[in-house]
Amino acid sequence: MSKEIKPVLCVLTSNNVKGKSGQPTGYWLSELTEALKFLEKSGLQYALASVKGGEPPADPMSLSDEELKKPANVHFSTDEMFQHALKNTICIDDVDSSKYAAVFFPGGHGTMWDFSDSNGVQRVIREIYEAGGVVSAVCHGPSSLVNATLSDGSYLVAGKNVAAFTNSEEAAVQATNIVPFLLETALKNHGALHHAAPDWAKNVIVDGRLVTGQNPASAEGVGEEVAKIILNK
Amino acid sequence: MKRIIVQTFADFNKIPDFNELLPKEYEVGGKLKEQGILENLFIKEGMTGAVMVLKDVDETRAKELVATFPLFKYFEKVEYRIVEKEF
Repeated sequence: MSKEIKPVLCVLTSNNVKGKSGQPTGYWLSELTEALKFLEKSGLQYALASVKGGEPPADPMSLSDEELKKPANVHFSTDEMFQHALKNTICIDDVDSSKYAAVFFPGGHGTMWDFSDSNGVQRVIREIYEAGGVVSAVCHGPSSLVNATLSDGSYLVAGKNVAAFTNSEEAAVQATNIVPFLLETALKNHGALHHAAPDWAKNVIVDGRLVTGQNPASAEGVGEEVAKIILNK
Repeated sequence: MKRIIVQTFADFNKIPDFNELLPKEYEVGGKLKEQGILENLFIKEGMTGAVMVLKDVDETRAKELVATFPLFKYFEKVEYRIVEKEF
């Protein structure tokens, strides 16, 4: 009798504005779909959650004509089950972590305002990691990791190798003075060993059961590494 | 869409001609990928087997296909898990 393979929980931001700038934001669609496509290809199930539940906001820039032509976005645009789940995400506070093999946090600037201080996000990360599961994030998704602690009070990222949206990339999109904190700096301040690749280059870092990626180009790679860890068990 | 996750168990480190067989293994996998049947194939950490994900085949056909891989004779155990997307 083969062991049950639990699904992957994907958590999206519910924040639709870049703070005082008033600029619209949300989650970055292709970071979700490209990782999900690889999970799907690996036969893995997934569930969608968000900080507030319900339909999360997509970053309008991730819905541009060019972005929507990406194969993973095209694939999921006609997937009725996915679309239904996306409109009805589970509130992170209601998530039963024991149901999942892994948690994945796609980015989008929206995450910078609601991931790091979410008790639900921090609880789910701690519970899944301490149960032997995989914690993963890409681009701004690692903002979920900044304040995540284990039961002994230590930061999850302390002493661990990670990738995340870099200060250089934040400057490149002219958001250094808009975001509430610089993600690379915040992770380093909590002990992470942050590894930066050149701007926009694929960069996926695996440290045990922690999988992180730097930017949108890294999303599929994060999905691939998460799938490998789950299926290796 | 149904998929079948195939978990194979073997000690690849103990297979004498493993390095010769591995390219042939990937060659068979490549052909199945071209046919849209094989979606994923990777060697497990620790060289303790391989994982394959097949789509659009039933379990009987999956077993036939897995038997065509050059490393098949070394598999100590093969598990087939049928999965269907659900929320």
